[in-house]
Amino acid sequence: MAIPMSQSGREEAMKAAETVKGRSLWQDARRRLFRNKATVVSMIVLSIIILLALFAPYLSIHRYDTQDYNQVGCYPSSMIDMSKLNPPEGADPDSAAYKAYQQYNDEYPERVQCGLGIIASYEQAKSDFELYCSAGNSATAPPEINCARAPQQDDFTHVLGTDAIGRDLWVRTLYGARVSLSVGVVASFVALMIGVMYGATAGYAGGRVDAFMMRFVDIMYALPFIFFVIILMTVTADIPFFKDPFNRFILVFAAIGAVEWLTMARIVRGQTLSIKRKEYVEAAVAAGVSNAKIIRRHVIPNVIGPVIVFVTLTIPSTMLAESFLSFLGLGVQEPMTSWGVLISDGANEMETKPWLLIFPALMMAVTLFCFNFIGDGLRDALDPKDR
Amino acid sequence: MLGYIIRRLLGAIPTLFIIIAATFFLMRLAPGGPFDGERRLPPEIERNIKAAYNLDKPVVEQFGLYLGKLVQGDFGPSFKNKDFSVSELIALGAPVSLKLGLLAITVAILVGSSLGVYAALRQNTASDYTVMSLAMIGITIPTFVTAPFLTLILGVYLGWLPVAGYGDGALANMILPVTVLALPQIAIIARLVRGSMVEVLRSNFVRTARAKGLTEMQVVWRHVLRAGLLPLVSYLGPAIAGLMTGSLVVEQIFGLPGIGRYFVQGALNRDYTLVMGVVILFATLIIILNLVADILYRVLDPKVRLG
Repeated sequence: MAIPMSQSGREEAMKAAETVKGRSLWQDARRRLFRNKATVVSMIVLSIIILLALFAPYLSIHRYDTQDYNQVGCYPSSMIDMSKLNPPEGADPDSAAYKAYQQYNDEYPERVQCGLGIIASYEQAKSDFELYCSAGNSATAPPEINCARAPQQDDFTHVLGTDAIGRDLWVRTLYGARVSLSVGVVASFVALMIGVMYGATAGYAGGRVDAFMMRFVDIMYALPFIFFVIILMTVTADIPFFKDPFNRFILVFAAIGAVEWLTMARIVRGQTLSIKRKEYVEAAVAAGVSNAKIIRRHVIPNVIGPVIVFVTLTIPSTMLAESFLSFLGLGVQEPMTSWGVLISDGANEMETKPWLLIFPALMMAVTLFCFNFIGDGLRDALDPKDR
Repeated sequence: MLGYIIRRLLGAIPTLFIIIAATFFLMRLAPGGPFDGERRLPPEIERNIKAAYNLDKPVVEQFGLYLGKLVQGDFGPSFKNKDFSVSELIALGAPVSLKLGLLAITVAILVGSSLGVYAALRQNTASDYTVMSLAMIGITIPTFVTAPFLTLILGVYLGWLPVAGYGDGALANMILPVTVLALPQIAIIARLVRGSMVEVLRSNFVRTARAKGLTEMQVVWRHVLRAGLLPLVSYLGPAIAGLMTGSLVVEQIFGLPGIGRYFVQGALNRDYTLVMGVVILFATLIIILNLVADILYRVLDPKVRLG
């Protein structure tokens, strides 16, 4: 029997029904989400980390790949006592103050080297700045001199010290955040796309198609998939196309995304199976809506809750996978960096320069915590059982 | 029961076949063979060597030959460790990895389930929250962060334990690697056990046991633990897979001469045969251990029907 309603009228009614229901669900979820303190704090901390990563090039005058052999293995600037770096003025070499200065410098030569390096480059930059910018001829200033901002002494310290070849750790950690976060987000997106399509199709098709598709997932599931990622990274390492750092980067995305879609497919399939039997889907079938459209309009919007939760939990696990690969030396290549690379480098030098390990590891741990707390909070907020 | 085991074993064969085929053809996709990059050989000698390693035959035939050797436990020659076959390398590393893995899984099960039971019995108290927060940390922080940190503190600053090396399997050398490897599994097991224990503590048969006047100790030991620890059995498969992945990092960091280290070195040196051999071995192990865990679960859980 034909439904006595015009095509557009019916769609409008459906749309209206969807928005009303959707809004109340999301409002409810949002209220519950913001009541969870751990989640809110995590969201704030994570936003700060993301902003730091986004604006990394503007946060320091150091570049992530500049090697400065005069400042190798510098202490974090907070660990250098600037007042002790220069000999006390006019002091007698036999005085206690002079001896304290000498002892300070004898114990940790890196302090002197880096401390003096700071002063020297700051003085150089200041005189360049005055020469080109102050005399009113800023238009002719060479490109490496930024006339918009006078150099500050702090610009020439290394907030978190430098690594074994004199690169600034603070900037490298922020660039590592860029790589790690983007791998996390992009690989999770790849997993999301494949998983939702695959799971929704299998669940909606049912029967033999479903059995076959899920059997495939089961087989894949039985494997320690990170091993396959490692094989893929190994085998492609000699192919010229993948020697290009950018292409290799994309390969890391794709390889990790291809690992993570399996669980997503399972979740979506389970949800789809239960939604398929709902009355509104039956009504849509009766109204002659095509299968593709039912999946798009009814199935996917209704599985989105669990999927969002799972994505927030997939992001940390993809970040971990990338760091794992990079830690083993199979991920992103120098001079590009990621938290895995930094932690691996730091672990090699931890006996003499523990900050190279501590800071990137801390940054990564905090980020992983944030994602996990947000995921937990979202799950509680979206769980229809205790609404 | 027997029928179930046979069915599961038969089901594992296609899975294994797919794994082997995938690894083999990936390996053939890789540019370069075992004898490239060294000094140029006269063509006739190169032909002889290729013939000796079956590299002159069509790929499908090579696959058949590889399978035939594989059934006999021969993974072929290592590409980079010239005097060794992959099987010999695996045999060299296996005792180390096995020792590490067995110790770690034992520690993980003992510590993890004790913590889980403890937290469940003191549900919603400060000790429960403490254990569960620690578990969250254990799950979140990856092995390659905990390993250097613990080494830094216990090995370098306090000097209690050796920083790295196998030391012929001395206990002191194993403490750090085993701890690092077991930590994430301890955390996961603690959460798992707490969850299931809490559920069992609420169930009817526990109330009955209490009602008939058993002491709390008797209730827990005789009734709750038996049902509450059951999910642990089905987690054993994933736990072992997790340990294998973890051992890659742990063996690398602590310089233990196990299979995981050979695997990573092989991956870095493009020793394809070695990498493939280890993957096939690990996948087989995981499939078998998953099967064992499933069978155990069926034996132990009275609710699951055998068949």
